[in-house]
Amino acid sequence: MRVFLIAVTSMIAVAVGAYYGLNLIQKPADVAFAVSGARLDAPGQPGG
Amino acid sequence: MFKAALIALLLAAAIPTAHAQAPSRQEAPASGFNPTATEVKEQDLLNALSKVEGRISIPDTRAATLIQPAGQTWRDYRRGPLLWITAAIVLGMMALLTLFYLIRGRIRIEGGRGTRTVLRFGAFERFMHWVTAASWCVLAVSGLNIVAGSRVLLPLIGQDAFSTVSGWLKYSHNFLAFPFTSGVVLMLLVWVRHNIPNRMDLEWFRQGGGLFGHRHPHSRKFNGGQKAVFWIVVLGGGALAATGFTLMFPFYITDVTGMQLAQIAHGGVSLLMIGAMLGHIYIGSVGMEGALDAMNSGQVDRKWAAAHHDLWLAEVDAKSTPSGHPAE
Amino acid sequence: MARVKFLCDADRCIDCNACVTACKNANEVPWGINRRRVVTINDGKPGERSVSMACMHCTDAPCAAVCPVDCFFTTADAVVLHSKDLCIGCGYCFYACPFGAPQYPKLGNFGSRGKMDKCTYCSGGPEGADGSAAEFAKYGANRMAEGKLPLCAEMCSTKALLAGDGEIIAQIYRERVLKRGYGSGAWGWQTAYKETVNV
Ligand code: HEM
Ligand code: SF4
Ligand code: SF4
Repeated sequence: MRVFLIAVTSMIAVAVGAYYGLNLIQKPADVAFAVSGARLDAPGQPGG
Repeated sequence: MFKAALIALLLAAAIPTAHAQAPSRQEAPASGFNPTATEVKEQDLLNALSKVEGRISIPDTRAATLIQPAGQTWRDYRRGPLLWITAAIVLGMMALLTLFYLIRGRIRIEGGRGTRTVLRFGAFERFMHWVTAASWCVLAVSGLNIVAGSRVLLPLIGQDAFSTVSGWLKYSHNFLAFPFTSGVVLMLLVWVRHNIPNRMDLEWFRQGGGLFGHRHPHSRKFNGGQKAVFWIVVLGGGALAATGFTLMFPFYITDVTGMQLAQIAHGGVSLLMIGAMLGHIYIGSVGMEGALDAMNSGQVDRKWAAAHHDLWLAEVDAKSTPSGHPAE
Repeated sequence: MARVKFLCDADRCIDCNACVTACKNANEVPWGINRRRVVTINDGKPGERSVSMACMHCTDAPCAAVCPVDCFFTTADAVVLHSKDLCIGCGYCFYACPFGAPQYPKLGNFGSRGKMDKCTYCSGGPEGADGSAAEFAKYGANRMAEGKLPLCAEMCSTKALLAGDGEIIAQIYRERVLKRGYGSGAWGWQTAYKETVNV
């Protein structure tokens, strides 16, 4: 039982770690599909 | 001669009709230039390549695919065969196991439990097993929810609640993929040396694994059935990780056609694995007395070990010091 | 009510992207998302054609059939709308869509693509509240509720892109082809509606 609980806890820890890890490489569409020099303002701000 | 005459006759008959049917667009266009002679035709492109692609002026390269009718084939697979296969495997396997339980009942330790135990799985072995097993269960449930949840759970709890639940299940599927994959890799490293198939496994299968009679074929640490489970987990899990990570990083390594195929492969392999694992879960819990101990405390009844893993027990005993394990 | 459709007359489209710009502006579509785009086939070769494409609002829409949370709704005009409240951003609709219409605010991993966005035929969202600011922020303009057609077609500089009752736009196209003597057909119609415009 003890090993089982440790296993479930570390499983959740790895999953949460993966969540933060993946968020680092996640790109919003406005950055991913940008071409340099096309904008005067910060990306992702419609009309801004 | 006769044939030639017939052809000539047919041709002569055909020409006037062709004229009569010719739509007015066959007349020369006002400009005198007829673009239909060279222009691209949708149907030709679809016939040749099964999709229509071109040039776009935006950075999103996926937008260059103008038409891919295969999406409709994928739709038809998902709302037809996939649902039937899923129902057949999940419900069919459960029915089969219930039937087996009714006929064979719980496989008991003959003569009841003994008093002495032996260590079968160390803490690390149990740890990696449960990391894999726990994440697998959530992956299976969340995966099945993607396939059939809108037909099973949605009518019960309504759209809003179902969308919330599915959102969380989807997150858990994506992120539990990492502990699951790590667990599979660990099991491969730690257990592969016990799982090389050999002649003894053939004999084990020939005797039906002792599932039906009262005889127990010889076995070392893992018997033929357990080796099969090991390879299903390693190869199936590996295939699921490969296709799953392809899905998780959409369009990094393939195009829309590849994504559809990866989806079909991932769903198919996962269903096979779910079928096999239901059997594994059954025999490891309700199906057999004493089996769960191996993954719970790690200590199994010596009588259970002697029945199911006789050669392994002998090896363990031979290795241990006489003081640790007094002779029988 | 009418069964509305889009029809792009590829023999008139000049790849000017006015429709794309009109759509972006009318719906305040964020950067990186293209509800409408122009694709040029056989670029630079004889017989090159450009086709403006968005959501075709298919008959028996594939996106709706594969959505795991069943969040699509078809309006009385046969416009295919989806609820951004229910969408879980799984991306399945993009795999099923024959025309690449669904768009996502985030790329990268599956778990967090954000709420899908696509052409609404300028019909706002499926939740009602026609023309409200909340609807506009989430789904864009609701010109249909004001009795107006999608702005892309309205602003097409060559009138290549037609929007409206499927029967009527098919008739307009048919007359054009008869008059000028050629036409490369109604692109996507066979796939989206299982019918073409016969001339
Ligand atoms: C090994 C790592 C795995 C990865 C990276 C992975 C990834 C994915 C992804 C990205 C999807 C798309 C839907 C979603 O995101 O929710 C998916 C679907 C699915 N997964 Fe997994 N998965 C993995 C393991 C598994 C396992 C172990 C099972 C079942 C035992 C499973 C069963 C399914 C099923 C049934 C679907 C739905 C397939 C379909 O819609 O046709 N997956 N998986
Ligand atoms: S074009 Fe794509 S998004 Fe639009 S209705 Fe058809 S399948 Fe759905
Ligand atoms: S991305 Fe949203 S709308 Fe598209 S299939 Fe998934 S849940 Fe449905």
